[in-house]
Amino acid sequence: MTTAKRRVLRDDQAVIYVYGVARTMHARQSVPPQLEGLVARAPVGALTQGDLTAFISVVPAAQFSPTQFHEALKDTEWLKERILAHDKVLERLRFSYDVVPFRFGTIYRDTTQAAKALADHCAALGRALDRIEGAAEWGVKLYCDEGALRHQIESESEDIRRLCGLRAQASPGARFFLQKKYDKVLDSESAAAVTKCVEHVRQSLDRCARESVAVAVQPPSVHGRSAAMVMNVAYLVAAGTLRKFRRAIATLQRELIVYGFSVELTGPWPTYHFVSLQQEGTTDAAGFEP
Amino acid sequence: MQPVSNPSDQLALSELLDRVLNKGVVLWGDATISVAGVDLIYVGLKVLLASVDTAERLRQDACLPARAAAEAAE
Repeated sequence: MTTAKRRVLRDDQAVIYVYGVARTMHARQSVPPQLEGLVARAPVGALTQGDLTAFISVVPAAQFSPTQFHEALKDTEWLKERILAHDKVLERLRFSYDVVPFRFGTIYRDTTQAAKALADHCAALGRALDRIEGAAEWGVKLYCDEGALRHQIESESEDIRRLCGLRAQASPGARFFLQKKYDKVLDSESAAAVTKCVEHVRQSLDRCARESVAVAVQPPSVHGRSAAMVMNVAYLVAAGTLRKFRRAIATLQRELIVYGFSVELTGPWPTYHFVSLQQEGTTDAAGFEP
Repeated sequence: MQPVSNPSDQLALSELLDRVLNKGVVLWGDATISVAGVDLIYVGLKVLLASVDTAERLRQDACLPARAAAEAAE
């Protein structure tokens, strides 16, 4: 426990909530007017520490002191509104600045402590800002309708066609074993097709993205589709290559639709996946745009 | 089928939660008094997926015409 944590905050005090950080030279223009913060009457302001400017709100300790905040998080309605507000602030700031987004719920005791945090991490934050300069995050997901994929493989695969022919001529007993073999071949060819397709998509899109990072695929309970999610990747795309990136996605979709694949694009997002200070250089990075 | 499908509201919200709660800079140190935990997403997902209207409304509010138009025109 540090001194800052140990000192008790009174409910009538205020604490500092941080949304993200930009370069001071870019942030010198004022924050968008009337940008509503995390809670009512807590507009977004700027806190400058050298080259870095943090976007902050002064929020009541009655809700945001460590104890109160963790208690408040149990109220899911309250939590929902705060999460949406956090994202909305970053989304608005993204129009004007390159902003390194902070994780939800980053709170400091006062502006002195927040400025100290910026000073302590100024080199890493500087690198994080360089990394995302002029870029936004996009999410790309690939779904596979297995029925459609199998159907296409059945019509294309030599092995499958041969087995089909044999099965048609076989006795009922032999047909049973041929059917087993057929199912096995179809399973393995489908799996191979999915792997190949994911590789193809990743290679194609890596050519027009600054970086990419694989994210866990979501279960149907989350994505709510009948098709299976077979790929989930976050891309860091520079504004200058966005058109190329979008075209690549449209091309992939046209190529792959016959195999039952569909591509889904979300974004632009604040660069949440590309700002980890601890894991610099360890992401699944793609080639840089020449 | 659309060339590039649009995410459902539900997906957009789960995407948001995944990012806001799991990603982004965490500046641990003496000065930081709180960062919301990763475990929240599990509480969050269930409840928050039920209320996509608000998410949509807020995201739309957030779209400034110029930037949105520029990006939509790509």
